[in-house]
Amino acid sequence: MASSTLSRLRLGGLSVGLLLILLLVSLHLMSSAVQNSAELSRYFVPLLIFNLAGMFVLFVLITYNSIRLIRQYLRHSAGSRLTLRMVLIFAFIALTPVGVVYYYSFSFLQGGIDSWFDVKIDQAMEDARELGQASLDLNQRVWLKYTEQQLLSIADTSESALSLTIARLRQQSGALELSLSDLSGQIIAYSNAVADELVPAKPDDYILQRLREGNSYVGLARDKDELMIRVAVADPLGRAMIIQGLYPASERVSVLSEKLEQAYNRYKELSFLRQSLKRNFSLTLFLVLIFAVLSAVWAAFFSARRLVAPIANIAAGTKAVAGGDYDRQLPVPRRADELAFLVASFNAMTRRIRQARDQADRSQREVEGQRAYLETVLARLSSGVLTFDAQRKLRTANPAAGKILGVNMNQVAGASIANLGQDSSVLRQFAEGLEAPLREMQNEWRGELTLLFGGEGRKVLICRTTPFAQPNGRMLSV
Amino acid sequence: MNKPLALLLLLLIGLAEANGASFSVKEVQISKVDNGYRLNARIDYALSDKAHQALSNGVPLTLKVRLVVEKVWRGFWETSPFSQTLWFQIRYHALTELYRVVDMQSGDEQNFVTQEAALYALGEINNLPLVRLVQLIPGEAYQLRLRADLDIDSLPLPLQPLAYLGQGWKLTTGWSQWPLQH
Repeated sequence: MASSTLSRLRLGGLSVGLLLILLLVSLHLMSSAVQNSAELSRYFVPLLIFNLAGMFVLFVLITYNSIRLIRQYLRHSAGSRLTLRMVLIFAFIALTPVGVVYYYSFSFLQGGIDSWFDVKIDQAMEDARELGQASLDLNQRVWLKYTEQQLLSIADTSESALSLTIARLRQQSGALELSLSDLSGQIIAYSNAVADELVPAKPDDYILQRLREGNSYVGLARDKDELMIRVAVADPLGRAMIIQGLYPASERVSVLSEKLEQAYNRYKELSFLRQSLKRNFSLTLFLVLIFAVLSAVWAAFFSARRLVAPIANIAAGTKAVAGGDYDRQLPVPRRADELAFLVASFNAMTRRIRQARDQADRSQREVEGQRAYLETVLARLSSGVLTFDAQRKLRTANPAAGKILGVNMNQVAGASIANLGQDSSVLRQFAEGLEAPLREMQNEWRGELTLLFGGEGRKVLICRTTPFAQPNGRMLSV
Repeated sequence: MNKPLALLLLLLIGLAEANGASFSVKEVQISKVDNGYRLNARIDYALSDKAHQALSNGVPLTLKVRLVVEKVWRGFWETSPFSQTLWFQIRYHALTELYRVVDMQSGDEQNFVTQEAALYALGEINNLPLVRLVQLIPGEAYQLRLRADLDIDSLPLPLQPLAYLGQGWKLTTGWSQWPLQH
């Protein structure tokens, strides 16, 4: 069982380790995606989903482990207290630095660097744009005035004459396009610098609305990379006519304004995206934090279980040994450390205890066998055999002894030689006869004892005492 | 990002546009000419606050119009005789204070003084050739399916995650069907 626990731990550890590696790679890709990698940015959301799913799996694993550990703790299972303590210690050791790093990283991200670069670039860019617009405004006002004068100079009424006039005015002004239309934008006369450009650009509704309200319009227009000034003027004389001209800006102004516009647009876009970028970085950082926290807690569980498993096994093994089970062998951890040494020593100890117990059992069985043999032999003897210990107390007597002495020897078993004859005169005579030889235990003795059996006559016993050694003292047989 | 995933996210989040901003197909005219059909349509692009804010800050917005001509009753294995996606882009230029609309098929550009005018021009589809008559089975009923979306994939990279996950960016007309008259 202990071995399967360890292999389960190993298998679980491998699976979760693989998941952690995948999550780490995914987080790295996500971080690269945030850092303006066009290819990876497409996968930001899938990566985010993968990370969230992976972290959810980790969270479920940790919750399951926590509940299991708490249950084991409440059941006082072997090793649960130590595991809980180690989990808490490991988690605390890992989470404290992670929390500190996250706090400062987040602070730096939110404002640390921005505060050093707060050099009013926004205002400078706005000023540059306004400066560009002001310089263009000057040009625009000149062209507005000029176009108004052109409209005032038109006195023709016929369509063909108007066409000729518009063409002449366009040539005089150097306009790219000059058109005359009614208040609804319907073209009356039109001239373009490019001969094949026959479709005039109709003023858009906003411009027409302004003109109908009596306001002139001047603004910039761009065709491809070319900057132009669009002027639309309603007739101050009240005729239902609108003149619209497109004038080229100078090449230098066009190039510079193009550059300014590009830079300004880019800056505006980036400063708008800054918050989104910060949010993305914060989200990624937060996911990294969650990953670190979950990994640390899971690693705490894993390490604690791995470290405690052999100790819990030893505790369970010791309990088993105390209960008399010497057959328990514990799985030795692979790594050669103190724990492995401890487990190996425990196994060696139980092995030796088992061997000793087996040896003792064998010896016991042999003694029992010999004793049974002797008892059988003694029981079959017609001679009486009694044994006394060093204190001259009767230890054993065979049935023939009882028969000869006419006494139930079981009743006097353990009695000293002095007290042997308290209840029987035959035994008293027997004890008195043996007292002296038994006192001299070192030597063998042979002699005859005559015992009087009251009215039943007498018996002459041929007796012999032989001393023999016992581990717990000398004994004599008679 | 692939479509099923985007759809899944859309279902998961399921958020309605907060300020009522949405795209809608206002008008569709499918006319039969000599050898095929042509489309005139007007789509109303009402931007959400977030999209409007992004546009005002120089972020280009790309609009995607998908057109599919298919049988009214068709099996899932049958291919459509006509399918096309149109792309348009709108961007604000702060120096010239103009909204530039680009037809990304032809590369044609138009500049507008107001956002309304630019969005109006953006929503106009004029005389677009659809399916040719020879591609259709005589006697079979066909329909045009049309859908316009704000293309989140074309937004600048830092905006994309929040556009996918957050509110205010999933602007679409949804699919609408319009019958082709024989």
